[in-house]
Amino acid sequence: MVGVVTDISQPFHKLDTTNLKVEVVGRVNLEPSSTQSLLQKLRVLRRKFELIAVICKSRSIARLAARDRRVDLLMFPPKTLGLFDEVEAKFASKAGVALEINFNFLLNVEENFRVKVFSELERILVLVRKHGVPLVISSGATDVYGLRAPRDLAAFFQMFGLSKREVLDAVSTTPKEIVERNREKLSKDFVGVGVRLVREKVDW
Amino acid sequence: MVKLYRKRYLLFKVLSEKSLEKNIIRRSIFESFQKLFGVLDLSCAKLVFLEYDKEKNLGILRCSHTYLDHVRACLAFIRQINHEKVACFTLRVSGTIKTIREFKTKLLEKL
Repeated sequence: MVGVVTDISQPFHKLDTTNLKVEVVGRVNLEPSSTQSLLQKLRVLRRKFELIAVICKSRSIARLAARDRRVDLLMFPPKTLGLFDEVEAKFASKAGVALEINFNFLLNVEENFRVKVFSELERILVLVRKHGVPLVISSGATDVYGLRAPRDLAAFFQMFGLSKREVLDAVSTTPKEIVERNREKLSKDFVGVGVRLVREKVDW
Repeated sequence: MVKLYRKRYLLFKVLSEKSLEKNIIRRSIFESFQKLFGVLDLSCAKLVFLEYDKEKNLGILRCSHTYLDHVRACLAFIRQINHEKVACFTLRVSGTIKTIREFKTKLLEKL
């Protein structure tokens, strides 16, 4: 499954991948400057994209994003990993918002800063396990050289004390579930949570 | 005699624009492992670079089964070799060299 980050000013065109055994998902990464701007963007974009991720760069945005059910993924750049604390984990767990850990962020971080980032990551993963926050691990690739094998990513995150089942879910099951849930919500037959239009009434 | 450690063989692929020399690949894998886990783990991992096909960019590594995840992680952390952007993937893990070579042959036939 490949999440393609698209330009929000233009309509998303699905790529034809029928022969490639690849599933393409349209996603948007929001990097709002204020909470107001985040709410405004969510209102407009939720019905257009299958995945919405919020890059949290301040505490207020992180808190709002964790509480809002319209947000699918929370992303924390290496410098703001400290924003993911106990309260944030509780909010995210309650709203079913997943935490996305981007391998590209870890790969491109400065050598000296990497130790700090890894220790923050360990702290975060303890909170994720404690509060049952859904976890998504992605390569975050912007080109072909950024791609990594899912099992290689899983192997790396196992070093932080996660079980094999947890990391494999984070690279496969959890993202798939999120996308399927959103596709169902975006379909025309969706009425409400658990309610789906099977067929329309026909007047005889 | 009791085996001291169980072996695991990894078939990996290096994705790069230029074809890279065997020694350069070997050095960068060992450096990546050492940078991530240190010299002590590198010695415990019993990491051996067995072979590398320069044309197909496929290589085989051997390590101890307890350090398999460490080796996979160190491969994922390689992003540049000789100022060239690269990506390393594990394609297959096996307990015997015979199986991994068979898989490699089948893979090359498909390509």
